[in-house]
Amino acid sequence: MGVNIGKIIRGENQVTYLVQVENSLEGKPGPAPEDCAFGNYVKVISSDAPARVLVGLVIDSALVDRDSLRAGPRLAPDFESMNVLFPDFVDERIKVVRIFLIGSIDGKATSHDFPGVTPKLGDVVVKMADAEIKGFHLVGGQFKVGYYSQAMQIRSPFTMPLMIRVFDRLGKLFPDQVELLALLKSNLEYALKMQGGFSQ
Amino acid sequence: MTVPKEQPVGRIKGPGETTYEFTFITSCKDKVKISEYLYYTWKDGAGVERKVVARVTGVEQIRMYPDPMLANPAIDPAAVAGVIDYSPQGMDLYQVTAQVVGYFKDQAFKFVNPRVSPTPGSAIYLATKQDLSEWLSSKKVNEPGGAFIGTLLNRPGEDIPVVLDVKAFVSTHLAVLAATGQGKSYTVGDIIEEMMGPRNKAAVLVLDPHDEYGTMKEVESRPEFSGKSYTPVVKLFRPDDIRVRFSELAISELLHILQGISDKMTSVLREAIHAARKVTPNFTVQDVLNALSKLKTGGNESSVEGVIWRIHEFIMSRALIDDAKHIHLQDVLRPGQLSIFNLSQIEEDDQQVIVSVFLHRILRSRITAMRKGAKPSDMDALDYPVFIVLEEGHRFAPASDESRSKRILKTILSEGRKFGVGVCIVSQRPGKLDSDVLSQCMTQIIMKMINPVDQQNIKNSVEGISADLIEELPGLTRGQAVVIGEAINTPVLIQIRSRQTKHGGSSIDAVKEWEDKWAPARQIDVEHYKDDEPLK
Ligand SMILES: Nc1ncnc2c1ncn2[C@@H]1O[C@H](COP(=O)(O)OP(=O)(O)OP(=O)(O)O)[C@@H](O)[C@H]1O
Ligand SMILES: [Mg+2]
Repeated sequence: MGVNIGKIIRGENQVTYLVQVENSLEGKPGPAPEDCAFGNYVKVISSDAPARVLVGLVIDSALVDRDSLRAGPRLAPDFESMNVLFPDFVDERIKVVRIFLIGSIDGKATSHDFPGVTPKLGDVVVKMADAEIKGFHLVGGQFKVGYYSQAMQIRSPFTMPLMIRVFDRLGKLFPDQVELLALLKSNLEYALKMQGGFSQ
Repeated sequence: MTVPKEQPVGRIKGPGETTYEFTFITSCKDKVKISEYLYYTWKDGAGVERKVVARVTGVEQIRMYPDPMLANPAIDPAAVAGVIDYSPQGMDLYQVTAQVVGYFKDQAFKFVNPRVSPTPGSAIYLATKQDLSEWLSSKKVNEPGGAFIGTLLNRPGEDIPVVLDVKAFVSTHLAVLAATGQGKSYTVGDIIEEMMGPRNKAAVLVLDPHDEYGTMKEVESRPEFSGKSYTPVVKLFRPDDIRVRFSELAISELLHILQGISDKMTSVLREAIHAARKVTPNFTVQDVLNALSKLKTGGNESSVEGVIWRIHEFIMSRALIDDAKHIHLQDVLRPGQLSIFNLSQIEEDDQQVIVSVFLHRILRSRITAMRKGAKPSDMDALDYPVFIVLEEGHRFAPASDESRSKRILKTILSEGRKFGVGVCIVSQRPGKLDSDVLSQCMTQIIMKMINPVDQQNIKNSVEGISADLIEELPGLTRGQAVVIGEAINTPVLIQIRSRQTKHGGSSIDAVKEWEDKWAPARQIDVEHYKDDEPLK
C-alpha cells in the first residue's frame, strides 16, 4: 500500500503528534523527502484496531541533531569521516514531522469529525494514496472538506499555505469541484498575500 | 383567563433600544415580517394572564454568509457551506426588534401598556386571526359606525378585515396621502361607499377638481347601498351649477378677489357693503356699486373709482359670483346624501373661492345650529355633522403661502371637532401641504411615497408614525397603505379593498388612445410652400 513514513514518538495534544521519520538503516530505503512533504495526507495505523485508521495532514517538520546539544569536544571533527567510521551516527540526526489529525476511516465509513480516539506511541504512520484521499473526502457520498474550519484553528504561520495546498490537491482529485475549491482558496490567498503581505 | 398556546415563533432576547422595544430571536423568517403582530404572555398585577401585543419593526439577520463565500456568482454559498460541513439551515437566524403595543383590554380602553419589559427567554407567538380581528379595529365589518377599507397586508390568506371608526375620523379628520396615481381617490371612494350605506347614512360633500367621483352616482342604484327603507342620494353639481352669491362673500374673501386694493379703497368698500347690507342681507353687486357712488365725496373719488373698476374687472366678469343664484346647504349636505362638486372646468382661483366660501358657510351654519338650534325653515341650517372631502389638499392649504382657503381650513380642522365638521384631505404632495393642516388630521392613510420631502413632512406632522413605517412607504405597491391614527387601534399595513362602484380616475392609456385615433397623415400640399418666399 502506501509508503511508511515513520512512528509516532510524541503526542502534543489531542490532535497534533510528532512522527519520527524512518531512516534507511534498517535494510529498507526510508521514505523519500516528497513522501513526508508538507500538506501530505497520512494515516495512522494502530496495532490494536487495524480496521480503523486516523487521518492526518503533515503540517510541519524539523531536523534534530542530538549531538548538537551534547557538550564537550568531539573525537573526530570531520563529518565525512565520522559517517564512514560510525554509520549509526546518522541516526543521531533525525527528521521529525508534525501531523494534525483531521478525521478517521473506519472500514468504509469516513468521518471528518474532531477525532475522539488518539494514537499510541509507536503507531505506524503511512502516506495515503490518491484513491484513499479521494475516498476520505466522500462522506456519505458527498464531497466534503469538513476539517477545514478545524484546520484553520491551528496556531501556526503555515496554516494558510497548508490549506491552499490542500485545495490545490483536492482540485486535481475532484475536477468537478475545482471552482468551489478555487473560491475557498482565493479567500485564503487574499488573506495570506494581500492582508498578510501589506500592512495598512 | 388562560391563553391558548400555539407554537412559538421565537424566544425573547432582551430589551431593545427604546423603552417599548424588545428583541427576540427567530428562525421563522417567513412568518415574522415587518409590521407583523405577535404576542407574549404576561401576568398582570391581579394575576391575570394577558397577551401582550407587539409589532415587528425591524428584522436583522444575525448569521450570514461571509462575503468571500459569495464571491463567485456561479457558486451557491450553500454548496460551499455544505463542503466545509456546515448545514445552511443554521444560517436562518434572525434578531427581530418589536415594539410593544400593549395588551388589549377592551374596545373602550384599547391597548394598555404593561410597562414591564418581557422576560428574556420567554416564548413569543404569532397573533391569530381571531386575535387580530378583535384587536385592530374597534368596529366590525358591517357594524354601524365602521368603514371596512381593507385587509391586513401581512396575512393575505386570512382576510383579516381592517375597519375604520367613522365617528373618529369624522370628528378628528382624515388625511389620504400618496404619490400621484397610487390610489388615493380610489381609497376615498371606498370610504365614501362605506359611509353612504345604510349603516352610516352620512352627509358627505366631495370637492372634486378632476371629475373623478361622478361615477359614484352608482351608489344610488346598487342594492348593496340600500337598506330596508333607505336609499342613498347622490347629487352631482356641474361647474355651471356651482355659484357663489355675491352677498355671501366675506370681506376678507372680497379683498382677495379684488386684487391690489389699497387701505383707503378697503375702507370705502367696507362702508359701501355695510350700507348695502343694512337695506337687505341679500344685496347685489349693483347695490354695492350704488352705495359706492354715494361715497364719492371729498378726497374719496379716486379710491371709490378704484374699487368700482375692480368690481367690474374681478367680480362682474366672473361667472362664479352671482347676485341671485344660491346653493342652499341643505341641498348639498343631508344625511344619506353624497354631493359632488365637479370643479374640473373651473379656474384654480375660482376653486379657491368656492372652497373657502362653502367651508365658511358650513362652519357658520354648524356653529349656529349647535348654539342656537336650527330653524326648520332655514334651508342653510345644518342640524347634523357633515363630512367634506377635499382633493388636492396642498392647493387649498399650501405650506408656502396664504391661500384663501387655508385660513378657514385651519379653523375647521382645529375647531371642526366641536361643531361636527369633518374633513378628509387628499394630497399627492404632503411636503407642500401646510404642516399644521396635516398634523390636525388625526387619522392617516398613507400609500406609496418616495419623495423625501413628503416623507419628512409626514414624519414631522403625523403623530405616532414610527421610522419603520416611514421606511415602508417607498416599498408599497398600488393598493397597499399604512393606516395610523384615531380611527384604528394601532397602526396597520393594509391591502385596500376593491371598489364596489367604478373608479372614475383611471390613468389615461396614451398608447391605446393613439392606436385608436391614428389615421394616415393627410398629404401635405407641397405646392403651397413652393410659392412662399425663401427665407432670408
Ligand atoms: N386598491 C386598488 N385596487 C385596484 N386598483 C387600484 C387601487 N388603487 C388604485 N387603483 C388604480 O390605480 C389608478 C390610480 O388610482 P387613483 O386615481 O386613486 O390615484 P390617485 O392617487 O388618486 O392619483 P392622483 O394623484 O392622480 O389623484 C386607477 O386606475 C385605479 O383604478
Ligand atoms: Mg386622485
